[in-house]
Amino acid sequence: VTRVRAAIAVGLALIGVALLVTLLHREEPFVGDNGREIELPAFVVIPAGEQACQPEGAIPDGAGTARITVSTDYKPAGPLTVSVVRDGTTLGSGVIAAGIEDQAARVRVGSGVGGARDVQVCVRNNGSRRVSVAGQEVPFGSGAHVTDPRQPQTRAMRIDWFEAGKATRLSRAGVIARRAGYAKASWVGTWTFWAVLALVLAASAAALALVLRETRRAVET
Amino acid sequence: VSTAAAPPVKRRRLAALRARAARLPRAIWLCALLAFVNAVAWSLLVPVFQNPDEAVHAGYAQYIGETGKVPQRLSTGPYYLPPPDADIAFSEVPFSILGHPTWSAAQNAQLHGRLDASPRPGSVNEGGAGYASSNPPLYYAYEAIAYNVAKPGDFLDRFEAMRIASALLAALTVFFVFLFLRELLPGTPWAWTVGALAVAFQPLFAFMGGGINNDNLIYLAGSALLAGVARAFRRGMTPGVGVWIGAALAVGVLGKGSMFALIPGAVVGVLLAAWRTPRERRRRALGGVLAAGLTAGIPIVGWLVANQLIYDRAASTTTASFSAGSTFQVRELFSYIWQFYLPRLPFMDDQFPYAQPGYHFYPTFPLWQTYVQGFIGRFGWFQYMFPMWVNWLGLGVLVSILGLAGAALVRFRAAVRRRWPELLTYALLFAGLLLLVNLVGYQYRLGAPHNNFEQARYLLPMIGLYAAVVALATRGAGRRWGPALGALLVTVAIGHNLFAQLLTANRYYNGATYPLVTDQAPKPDTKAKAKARAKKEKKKAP
Repeated sequence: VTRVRAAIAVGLALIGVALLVTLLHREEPFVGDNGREIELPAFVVIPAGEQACQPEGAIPDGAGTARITVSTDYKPAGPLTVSVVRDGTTLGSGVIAAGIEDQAARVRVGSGVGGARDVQVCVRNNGSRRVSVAGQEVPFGSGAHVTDPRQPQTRAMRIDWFEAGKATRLSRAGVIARRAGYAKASWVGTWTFWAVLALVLAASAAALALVLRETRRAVET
Repeated sequence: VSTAAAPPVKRRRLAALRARAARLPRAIWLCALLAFVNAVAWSLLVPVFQNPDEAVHAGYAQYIGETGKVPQRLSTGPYYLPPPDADIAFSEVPFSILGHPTWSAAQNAQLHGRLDASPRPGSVNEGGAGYASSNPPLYYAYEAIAYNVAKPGDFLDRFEAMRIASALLAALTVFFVFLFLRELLPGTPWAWTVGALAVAFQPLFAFMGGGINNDNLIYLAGSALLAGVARAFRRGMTPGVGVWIGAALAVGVLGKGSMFALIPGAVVGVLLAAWRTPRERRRRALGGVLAAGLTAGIPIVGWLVANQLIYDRAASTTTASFSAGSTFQVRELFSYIWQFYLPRLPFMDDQFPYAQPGYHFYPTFPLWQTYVQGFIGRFGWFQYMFPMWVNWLGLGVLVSILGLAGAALVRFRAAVRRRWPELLTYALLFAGLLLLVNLVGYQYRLGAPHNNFEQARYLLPMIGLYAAVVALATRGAGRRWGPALGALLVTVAIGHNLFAQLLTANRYYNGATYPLVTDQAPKPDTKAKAKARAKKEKKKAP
């Protein structure tokens, strides 16, 4: 029985540590995307020193960080400057540092861009190598305009938007609970998420107690 | 339940049933209850329609609940044509395989407002059953009961009621898994609880249990079949056990066509169990064989006939997935199945190829990607899963469990030798399921090249065997460490379940959406692969 208890304690300790690491992990919360898909290889190609700007009807409320997926042909590239511009005025911008290599890159452009309407999102390649930003084919005029006219002009970049500041997952629990109550049965609400959590924890505790009881009984008999 | 007014025979039967239930260990009820609670938790966590094909399964049950009729099989038109209330939910949740449900309080209020409007939006449309309409009706008839119980509520209330009814099936599945282990390892009662709890907290099983999907009925039927077969081998074949086995088969086949996969193994099992029954009880055993055949055969044949004559649906509605297409080739099928599990042999065409250098169709390593990763946890419409390192960790745990179970088989080889017909039956049941899923997968590919059909959930009718492996593994750890290992495995299962739920909460209510990635052209190679290919090409160059 001591060994059984010890095994449960070890298991619970592992779960506890993993939970702490998971829940205290900090990241910029997701707020929305621009609805573009990723079609291979319909990427927006930006040669060195050039820029691609695409119109965006609206930036999601609360956005302050952008994420784009950049292909660099296995070689380090960048830096890239990402800016949000309206009528010639820069609402926010940030730099993806040199050294990016075939990856999704996040860049903080400032919380001033959140909720902005009818803007241009521009990516300038300040590096010495060509980069491509993942996106899809779109009708001419609705996608990214690349300053190098030799590049395809009928593609749009996929952009994901996140809040400007980082938060732990634990601190998002209230938001998750609220959203989990939407579009469900009429009696489901924010409380349900907490009830589910309590139910699962209670069931887990009961399962461990049951195992302990059964193994103890085996030892006794 | 009062039995005072019941006639004496009925009263005696009820009393016998009660006495039999009272003889069952309390742990079996607790395991089933915990499975129910966990599946209900999943049902409340996962957004509407996010269980695989849930919209059409709900549509089928709704149609039966509303009309009492079985829907016609769709031959043309859209895959899914829901009634107005389901359509409102579908578009306003909104449903998306890759996206998330609404995060807007206003849209949520609008959704409920439209569903609760007076007059209520319509609830009847045969097309709601969509591509699920080819399924047999038993599961949906059962779900229709829950649907009607919640009928005063709106569509989403009825939907959740149907999910909870599914959770009840998950609980019954665990109940039968426990019974199976009790017959399989009669000398180790604590291992029954360990195995049953490993199933109750297996995240994929619980996720399915919390959704509207006819798979849940065949998980129950498969587990009941295993328990019946194990009982037949341990206690001898009797008419009662025959009815049990036959009923499990009938319920399964009337729930989903893939239950046909278990019939060959079940037939062999029933015959072997009768053969192993002591000579003096052989006559009774033959009665058991007959009972199994009749109990399974009459409803199945009855359904196939009624399907055609009463419901005006072709018999192939139930069996269509087994018919061979015009491009079907046995040699290619064999090659496909071989490569699903094992490396390709030189004379075989590549069934899971790299489409272009550096880019490969999914899956390239199907056993690993589809079944192992799927079992560790691939949720939604087989869409989101744990980070890859968790899959490697899970593989390590699974291999360790298999190793310990193997050690137990070696240690108890005398019993294994003695019980070979029983083990052969389990192997045949599992092999039958694997083969049928692969057969359908192969046929699916003939119509949709390189598309993936197989999913780990299709193997869950044999979830009892997973429980058996877990229970055996604890035996493999020896008398001293076995209970501790069992406790550790249950704790791991609980943690696995908890993290799967956190993953799900993050996926739908917090994390970034997944962009749709279409493979119109090659994905870039990884750096290592590109280098290796360049080196190879350099070598080849004159």
